[in-house]
Amino acid sequence: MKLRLAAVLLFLAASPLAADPRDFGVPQPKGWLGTTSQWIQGVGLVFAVFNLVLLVLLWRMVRRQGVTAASKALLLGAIVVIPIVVVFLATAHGMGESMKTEACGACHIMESHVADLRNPKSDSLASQHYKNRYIQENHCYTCHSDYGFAGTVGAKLAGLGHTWRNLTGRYALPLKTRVPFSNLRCLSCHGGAQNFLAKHEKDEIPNLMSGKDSCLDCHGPAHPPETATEPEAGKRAAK
Amino acid sequence: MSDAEGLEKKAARALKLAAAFTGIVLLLSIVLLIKETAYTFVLFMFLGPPLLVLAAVALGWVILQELKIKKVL
Repeated sequence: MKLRLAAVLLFLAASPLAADPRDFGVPQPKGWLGTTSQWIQGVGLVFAVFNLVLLVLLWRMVRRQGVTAASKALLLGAIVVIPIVVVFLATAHGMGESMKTEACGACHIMESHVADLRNPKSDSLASQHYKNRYIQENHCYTCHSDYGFAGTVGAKLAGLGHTWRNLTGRYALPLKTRVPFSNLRCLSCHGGAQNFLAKHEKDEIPNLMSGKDSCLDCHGPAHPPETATEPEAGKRAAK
Repeated sequence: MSDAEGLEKKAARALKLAAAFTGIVLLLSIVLLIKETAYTFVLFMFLGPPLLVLAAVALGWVILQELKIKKVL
């Protein structure tokens, strides 16, 4: 009972800070206790605040009594053990949150792309994927990162560059992708799907796999071209 | 001032430094956990782990000095 109460309190601590983006009014399953991401956030916050309080108490204790055997053990916990847990949880939270569409749309220059995604009237490829939930979450990240560990690392490093350019205003318009868009990002989902195989001739597939032909040659552009030039274009179109 | 007293003062300073670094790491973590933005995340990733390593090194140095004074090492 106490454990359940503690779990509920822990979840409630984080819930006002992280509204579930998947909440489209669909009832939550029985026994719902929040998402993994909310738990990471909640537990991380509890540990961080606890560690901070412990650090303050230890500081006072050491000033009053000097370094004792007890304070040494507690210092090891407060300076090494618990902060490692906090940093791990905060990193996991940061990594998860930075993949969300909201994180990409937080920069002014990207507002147009995100507005187009959500525009009910838009028929752009990206918007169709977003509105029909072909991709369930992390929409920008899913299409703009390669799959696998190297893809994640590459996307994070590229994100660092984006943050720097957004902060310093050093980006050139029209915006363009750093490297040509890889077909493998489309094929990681579509490749092998019955719908894909039925609609493409057999002799087209090797060229798509090798990147000789681009998926965007027939299905593009992924975003309306004006969104690359004007940050306000997507927002205007959505009105 | 004897060598032991000098070392004790240095150790106290190192401990304060370690605690201060850890405090900064915790504050950065709390900010990131409450509100994730590209800037809070980048700041956390660049400052958090290095400061935590420095804090651990400072604490390790204190422990090492104490062991040397007690002639365990």
